[in-house]
Amino acid sequence: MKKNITGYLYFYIHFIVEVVCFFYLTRVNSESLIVWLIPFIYDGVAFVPQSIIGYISDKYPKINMGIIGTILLLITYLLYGLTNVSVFITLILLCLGNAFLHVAGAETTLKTSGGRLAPSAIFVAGGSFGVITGRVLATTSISPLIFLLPLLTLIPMVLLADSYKTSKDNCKNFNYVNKKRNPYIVVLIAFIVVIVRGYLGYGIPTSWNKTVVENIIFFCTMGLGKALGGILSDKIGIRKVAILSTLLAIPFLCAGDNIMIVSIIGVMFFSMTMSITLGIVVSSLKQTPGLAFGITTIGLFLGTVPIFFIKLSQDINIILIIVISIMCSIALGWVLKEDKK
Amino acid sequence: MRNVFSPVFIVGNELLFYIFLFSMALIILLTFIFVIKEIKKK
Repeated sequence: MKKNITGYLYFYIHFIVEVVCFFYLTRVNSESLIVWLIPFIYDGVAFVPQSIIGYISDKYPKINMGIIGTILLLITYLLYGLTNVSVFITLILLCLGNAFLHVAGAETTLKTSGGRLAPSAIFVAGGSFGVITGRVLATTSISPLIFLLPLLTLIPMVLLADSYKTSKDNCKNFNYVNKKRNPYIVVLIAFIVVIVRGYLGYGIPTSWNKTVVENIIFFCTMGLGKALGGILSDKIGIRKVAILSTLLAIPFLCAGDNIMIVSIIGVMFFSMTMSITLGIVVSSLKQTPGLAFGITTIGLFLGTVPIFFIKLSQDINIILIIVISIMCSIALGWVLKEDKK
Repeated sequence: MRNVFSPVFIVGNELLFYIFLFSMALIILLTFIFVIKEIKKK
């Protein structure tokens, strides 16, 4: 039996997807009169429909969402690079391409993982590295058409990842949730945890983060944390990782405002929860992993909505980090079943 | 500069923005209907 490398394949695919998305967003937004509108529409159209696309993918697994997503991104870049078509057309196409590829990544890594979290966590981690790479490249003078080449490489990568799928693939081995808990409450708690963590992610005090290099370090640490969350959960148990990472993040995040090394340790712990909440939702919706993934992306969108309209003071952010982290830790401990190891 | 946001969009087509918000709300509602349906199935 060949070793499952779908997580690494989708790490690359996710990386390229975020590079092209954030290259486009940074370039277009720098020309926009309303700073918040394009990122807001992007968050909405890229994140929210993933639940419906995922549900369609669950019901009709023969539809190749990865290839559809790649084609949409190729069309976006051809239109953006060669024509002067309205930004809203290319923005919607870009968002949908992003959404289709995310669903493909989630479905493939979850279904072929045999109940392990690491593949999907590695897939998710690729995005953080892509976001910062796209932003940095957007500040250079390179042509958007250059990105057609990495986009074309996604086609063989998606097909290669698909070769790991079998008709027997499923998510039956995702059994992270305490069976005594009501599944509706479980999904609701995971959803709320994603929302509040999504919001807190933007409130982390990082006065140290001023230069491009520091920003790169910040995003890379975030990516590393997301991947480690899944890898450690498989090694030492998801419940331990969920409770410890949520609580350990608090002192580092609160004390790291001006000290980079302290702050990034906190960011790493903070980011570990991402794959854990995904594992919880998939455990409750084993037949529909695409829909389960979509729940978490809707949560992320709802978590980011307030940042477009509300700005809280640093002190309130720190209080929120402490209170919400403790509450999340208790909630995750209640939802997750005891680790075997 | 590209014509990213013509005043027409900002002033005249606010309706489009509300349609966008309504669509997002509708998809979220649909998602929860599907989730309830799938959990019931188990």
